[in-house]
Amino acid sequence: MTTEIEKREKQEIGTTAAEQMNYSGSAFSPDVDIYSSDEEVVFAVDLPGVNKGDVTIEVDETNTLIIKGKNSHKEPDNTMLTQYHVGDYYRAFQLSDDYDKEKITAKLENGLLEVTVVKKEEAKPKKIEIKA
Amino acid sequence: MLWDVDVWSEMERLRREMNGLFSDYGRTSGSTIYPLTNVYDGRENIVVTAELPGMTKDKVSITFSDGALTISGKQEPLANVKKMTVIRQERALGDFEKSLRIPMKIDQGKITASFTNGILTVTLPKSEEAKPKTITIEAR
Repeated sequence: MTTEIEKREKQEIGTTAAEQMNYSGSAFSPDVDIYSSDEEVVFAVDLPGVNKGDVTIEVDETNTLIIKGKNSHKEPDNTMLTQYHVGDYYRAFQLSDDYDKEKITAKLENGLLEVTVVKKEEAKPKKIEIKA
Repeated sequence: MLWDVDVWSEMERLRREMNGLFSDYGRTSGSTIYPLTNVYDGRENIVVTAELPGMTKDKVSITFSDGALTISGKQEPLANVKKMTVIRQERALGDFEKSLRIPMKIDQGKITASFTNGILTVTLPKSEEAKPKTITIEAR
């Protein structure tokens, strides 16, 4: 028995963010899953249509993680049914001071971006041994 | 009166009707069951594209029968995060199955599919009788 997943429409982002990307067409806010552990935080970002070289990930001076994806996917003409639109992606997250912005790793596979940010050594939980 | 009908509402009604042609089986039109799908009508082919980020070609199954194209599979969460705490969950995960009625005769043996950067493209060649014909006017 399969359960159908409902899919909401892609969220188009405001003009300010679109301007930041110097992009005139539509830009979208991608769906993101975030996972956390004592050591790190992982972001899974849906970027369908984006090539490996077309993603930029940066952390600015306010500790904001900014993910941008340039979508070069081309769709045919003569549309009959349109459920999604093609455009660039932009999403930003505020990181706490606990994370090391020098140690960010990322990989993009089949339109799914995985970004891993590790905690600073001093922010990781310490296990204290009880001496006999 | 020349414009007896409201042109804009008439166009909107037409647009909805067009979308309805491809509506998913047993569903009202306009529903957006995963994955989001676009359909294009070329001269030779009907092209169906679907956004399936993170999927690989061996995890998607595509069938065509009784004039309907069915795309099914399972979107699984990342393998390396199983023991981690979920902070936010927006991506569609789980089993999916979506059927689209193709309102044209299709040469079933020649259907092809490809998968690039998380976008599935299925090309359905029209059968000879469904292709547009150009009729030349003979001079007499």
